Amino acid sequence: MANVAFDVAVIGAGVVGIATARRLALSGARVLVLEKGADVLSGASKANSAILHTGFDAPEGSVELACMQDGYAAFQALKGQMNLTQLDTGAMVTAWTEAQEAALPAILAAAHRNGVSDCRMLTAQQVATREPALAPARAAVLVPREHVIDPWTPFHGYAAQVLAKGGTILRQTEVTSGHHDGQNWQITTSRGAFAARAVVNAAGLYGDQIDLAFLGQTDFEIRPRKGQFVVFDKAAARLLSTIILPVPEPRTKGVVLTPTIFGNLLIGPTAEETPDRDRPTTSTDALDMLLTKAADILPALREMPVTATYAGLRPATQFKEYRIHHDASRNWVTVGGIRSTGLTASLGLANHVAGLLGASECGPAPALPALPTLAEHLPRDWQNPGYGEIVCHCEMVTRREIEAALDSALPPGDLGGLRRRTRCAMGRCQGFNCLGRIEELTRSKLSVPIAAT
Amino acid sequence: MIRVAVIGGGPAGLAVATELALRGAQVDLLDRLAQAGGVPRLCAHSPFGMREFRRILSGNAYANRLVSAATAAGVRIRNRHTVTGIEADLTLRLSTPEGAVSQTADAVVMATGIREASRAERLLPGDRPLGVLTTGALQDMWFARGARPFRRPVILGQELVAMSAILTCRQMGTPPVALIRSINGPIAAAPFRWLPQVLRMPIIDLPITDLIAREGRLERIVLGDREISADGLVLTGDWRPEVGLARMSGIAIDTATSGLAVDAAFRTSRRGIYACGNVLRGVRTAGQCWSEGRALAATVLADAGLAVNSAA
Repeated sequence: MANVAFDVAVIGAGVVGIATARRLALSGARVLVLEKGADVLSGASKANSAILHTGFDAPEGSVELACMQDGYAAFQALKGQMNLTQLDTGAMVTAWTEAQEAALPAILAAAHRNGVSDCRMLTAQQVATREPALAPARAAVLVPREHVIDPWTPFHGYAAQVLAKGGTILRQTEVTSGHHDGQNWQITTSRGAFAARAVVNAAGLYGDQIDLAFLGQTDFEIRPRKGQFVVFDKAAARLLSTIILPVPEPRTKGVVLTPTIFGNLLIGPTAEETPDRDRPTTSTDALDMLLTKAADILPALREMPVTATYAGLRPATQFKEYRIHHDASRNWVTVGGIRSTGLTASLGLANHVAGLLGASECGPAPALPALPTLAEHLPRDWQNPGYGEIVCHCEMVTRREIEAALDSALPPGDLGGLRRRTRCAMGRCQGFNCLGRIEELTRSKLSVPIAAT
Repeated sequence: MIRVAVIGGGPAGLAVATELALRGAQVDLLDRLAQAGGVPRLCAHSPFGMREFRRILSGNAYANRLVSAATAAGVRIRNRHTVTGIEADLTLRLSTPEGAVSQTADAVVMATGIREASRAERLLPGDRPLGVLTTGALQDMWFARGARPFRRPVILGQELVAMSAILTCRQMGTPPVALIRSINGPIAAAPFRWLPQVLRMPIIDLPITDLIAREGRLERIVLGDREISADGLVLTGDWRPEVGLARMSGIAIDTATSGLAVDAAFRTSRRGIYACGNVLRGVRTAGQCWSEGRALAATVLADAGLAVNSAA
């Protein structure tokens, strides 16, 4: 393989890497994606709040804002074609204190400057009418087009398009070093050597290290920021239909309470600086804090059971802005420091990178089987006959869905990948009832098996 | 004839279904698995059946007996029938491998049982690796499917089920390397609770402060300044009633027990809907659940205005 140069190597199969690989593959490039994890979306991308942002609060005039708004529009255009799901929720930047209320007019003005002209102020009464279960608020800025999406399925679909266009996606393949030989990048990995005319560094939490390994320098340093989340029982979803955003604090957007497309309520993330790039650990104190916070925002949550807890690491840097670096002479692009807005911006970032690399317009997308619908508000597989058996009863995941994932062009590499593709073992019991059956169905089919060897 | 739908085919559900059928009701027992029998099916240990059959049986043999008794009484056992919702008029929404169907009943009994608290419900810290699982998942993996989720397990908890987990691990050829007792809740009665001492297992009374994974699999358990090398952690006990369906259907939950709220005769907050067995509270033995189910039949019939004469 090392003898044949790819047009582009993308390092990292997170949301940015996959969207970029798709964009370049659709324009006819021979694409290689190199992923260190056992599956795609297994780094920073596995844990986000799954919100499709309008960019109402993004830095004015920034590349981030442009990519978010382009990404948002591209997602809307793709929805119908690819069976991408979205739960229309809207969001409210909600003020409970006088100080927070005083900050709202500036937030509204900034939103309007960012072109999100449908944002408007809501009175206490209007907030209560829209969300009666919410702790009484003073006022809010309504962001009508801020919505909730499935954070993984679209990207599995994009990855399938990469493969259908002749691209290659290698997992458990860690990039260790590389150099430019005057014509191509020579890339060394844990699974052999590859050559590519261009490289896109979408290595997320390792973006600075990849820059250093290839370029000998980097203009940013990854400072992982941990975000912990708590998912509440599905019964909680009836209590809220709008994303509740806090009035932001300096470092982060703050703790969000949001419906998920899977029919739960989610609270998070925390924002904790951590030196560790690969340990998205939970801590009992932080989870307790989130539970308290959730009950402050929505008092009925005090009685609501917890379905899941998880943590993610956002590839933050010492800068607030995205770190996009283009070396035109050597066909190198770094897409670094992409934090919580990356999910929204991914398709926009892909277009941006394609522009920097001089890629041509997208050709027609390959015809592929429809993506599974995992959204709770839409018809699911269990509603159709012939599914065999329900494997996961909490999330109503069928054997047919699990088998389809295992037989797909990009089958899961580990249990996490299967969970992201089907939702199995993601519900209330977290595998008490189904883990044994899942182990049996996936035996010898996962590169990281569930049972011990 | 009164039509009763019983949701859940464990000892409580099978008992109430059998008793109702013997007294002339038309009974559908809806069980979401391929085979009714409930939790005892996963338990290889004895004793089961003293109260019901006056003899000692294994969990699986006991479950088979209960199922045979129900079938003989005329209960229609519907396997792989998952109830997805209960409407106000007692119409049940069901998912079956042949498609979604509805069914109306004059009375509904919820006997949906319990499960152990998950890692998330326990708010455990650290990584979320493979090898951390409940006793229920472990016993399903090992007894039903012959797979070992780990080689060096640690047991968390000291209820009776913890002792069952210890025995299961030993039977698998992977004896537990320690028992962590730092968990609130009930403690197994003597002599069962002496098992760890008898086996000379190290016993630790510290809370877990970190779970450390390597390549997706548990590697170390940290308890303050202590560290145990282990690739498995069995989360035992801390039982949670399976009230998901009830909660989604607007049936009241008792915040004290986390189970379904019922009156003294096992009526839930919704007219025509009853509950029995472990869905009412924490864990009791199969025999107790069975007795409770059998006793409930009379209430269901009396509320429907039918004479209560024991068929037996």
